[in-house]
Amino acid sequence: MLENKEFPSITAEVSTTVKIALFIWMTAIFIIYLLIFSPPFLLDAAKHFGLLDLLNNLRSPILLFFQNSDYSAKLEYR
Amino acid sequence: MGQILLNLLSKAKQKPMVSPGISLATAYLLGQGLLANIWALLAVYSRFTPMIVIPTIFILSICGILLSYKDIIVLSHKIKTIPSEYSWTWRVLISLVIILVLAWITSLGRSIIGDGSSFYLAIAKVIANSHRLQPLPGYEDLTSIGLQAELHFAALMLLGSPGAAQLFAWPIFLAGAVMLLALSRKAGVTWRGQWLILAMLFTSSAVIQLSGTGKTDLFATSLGFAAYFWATEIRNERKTMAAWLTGLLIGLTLIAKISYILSFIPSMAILVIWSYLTKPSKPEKKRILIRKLIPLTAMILVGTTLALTPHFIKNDVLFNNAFAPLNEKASGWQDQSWNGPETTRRILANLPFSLTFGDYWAQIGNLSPLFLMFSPLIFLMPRQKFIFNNQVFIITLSALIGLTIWFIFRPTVFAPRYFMACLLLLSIPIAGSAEYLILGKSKFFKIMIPAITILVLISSGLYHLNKVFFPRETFNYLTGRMSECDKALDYCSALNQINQTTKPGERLFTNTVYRYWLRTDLIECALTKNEVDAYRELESPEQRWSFIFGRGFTYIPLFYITNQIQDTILDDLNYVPNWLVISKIDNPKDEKIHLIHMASRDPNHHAVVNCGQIDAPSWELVNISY
Repeated sequence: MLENKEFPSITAEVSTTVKIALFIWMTAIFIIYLLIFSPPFLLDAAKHFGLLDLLNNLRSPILLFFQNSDYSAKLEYR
Repeated sequence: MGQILLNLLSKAKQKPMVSPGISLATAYLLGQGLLANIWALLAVYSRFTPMIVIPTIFILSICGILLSYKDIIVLSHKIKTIPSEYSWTWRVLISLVIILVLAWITSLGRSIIGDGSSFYLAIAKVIANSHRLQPLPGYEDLTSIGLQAELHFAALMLLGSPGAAQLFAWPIFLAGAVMLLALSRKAGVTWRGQWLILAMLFTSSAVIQLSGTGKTDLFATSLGFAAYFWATEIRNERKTMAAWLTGLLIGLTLIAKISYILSFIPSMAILVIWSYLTKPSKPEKKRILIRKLIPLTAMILVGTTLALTPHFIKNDVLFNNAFAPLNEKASGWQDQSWNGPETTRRILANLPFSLTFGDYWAQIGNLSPLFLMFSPLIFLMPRQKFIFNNQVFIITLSALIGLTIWFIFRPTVFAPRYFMACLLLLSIPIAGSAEYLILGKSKFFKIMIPAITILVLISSGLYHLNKVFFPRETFNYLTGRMSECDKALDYCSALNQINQTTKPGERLFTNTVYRYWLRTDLIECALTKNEVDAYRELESPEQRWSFIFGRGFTYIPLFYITNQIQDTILDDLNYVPNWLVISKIDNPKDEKIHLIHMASRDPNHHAVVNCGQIDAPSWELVNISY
């Protein structure tokens, strides 16, 4: 049994526009995630179908945008 | 030990405890923290011997089993009964989460890297073999931080199981996850949301990448979750017990990770105050409520201080400074700066994307993309009239305030592990709102949310295969086909050669981060921080060679990942003074690694320091008088 039911049980309707927007958002995040943290099978598949260059071309601007860094770090501490 | 304390605290009120899972997880986390405190005191006073450690572990294990067997039986019955309401989609999702959780075992085949090999496991190895805790040469300042995981690693090494030490963060984090789920349950999240929370935790590379490296950050995260849970229990009838547990757990969390002082303490304060002021008992006047809050706060503070006391004693004995490293400028704790202004601006401007996709210096891992994917769902939750009575709101607020304080005071230090408990707390509102929408009428959410979670679980598992999870190596290691050293091919064989070439007590002029694989006496006798500082002040090669030889160093290992000291030595090898005989020993397995041996042909040049056993079996530096 729940001690405290914080979430209401009746859900409101969500409009189709919001659903489409959420679908695009979630898919986009997943694609960016896959491009940055490409599992080996994705790279193998891209290589097999001759799409490795395309994958890299897509990946480069994403890496540049999210991971660009001047790395001017100095101290190690936990 | 945790179970004994829990029984003592709960019997005072004769009230039934929380559910068996929460009771076991709390007892486990609390017990390990308190036991680490006992290990710290034993080690500081050179009593960390097998004669004391092994019987202590044996007796406490028996007591723990006797006191918890009822909870264990109830819990095992609960786990066996899988509700029939689980659809096949959810069964797939749950199976994948369980596979990812179990995959952590396969990080046993991973090489110990980074901070694990330079400090956490290295100091544990020294404690286990020398039976005492001393500042680790080269890392004297770091020894002043709270030591908790390191002491358990030492105990496990003393029992002859370095593999168990390498994996010890895994059961700790599982217990922490139980506490986070318990907190989410109190906030109204049911089984779907709870599996989503687990999926979010175990697809976060900031969590996964800490598996099997010897890093200790997950101890603080888990203790932090337990502290959050018990802070919200203050609003219930067991408030005295909850206050004591909250205090003890806060203290143990701070020992496990001192950086939590910035993010965790403010967020805890919010939860404690809210928990007390919104307790569902009969309404009281504000003045009376605030007056009653004082003894409760005092209990929490006393609990925190009690948990921290062994840490203060340790630092007082070792450094004559109980409050190190907080009041010590030399430790660098107060003025850490990791990234330059341009990078820091970029990180902050890109939040929360930098937490999910960033790869900045020493960041070590990201949040699961599920956090980002599901976060807009929070805005689809219906607005409630009394928002301050809502646990989800307060949990979110306390997490956000903790994180904001971190980014205000430490904007350049961007590493999720430094504020992990606070950060992962956000999984509760996010998973809660996802569950809320799954339970609604719309088929879109019923399909989309589990489907995308399954995809993330699969891609995260495959991405970390052979990066963090090494099933083949783990199998070979467990079946004896692979040695401890084979897991770290780069350096271990070279360091083993040094172990075989050098005599006990000989000094190595190195501050290598791979010291874990060195013989214990070589780690204890290695280059100290004071020596590094003095060496850097010297101006000529003659002065530097005289210093190295005079300090009793007989060998200089040269590795292919170089540093400032090694670069200086490589230059100075062109200017060796006449009195010094240098011989180069090549490594048969790795031509890039060399060992340089030094001897004096002039009796006027002799060492004034050597490494000896005054309090055997430990080694320490001794001045030689002529």
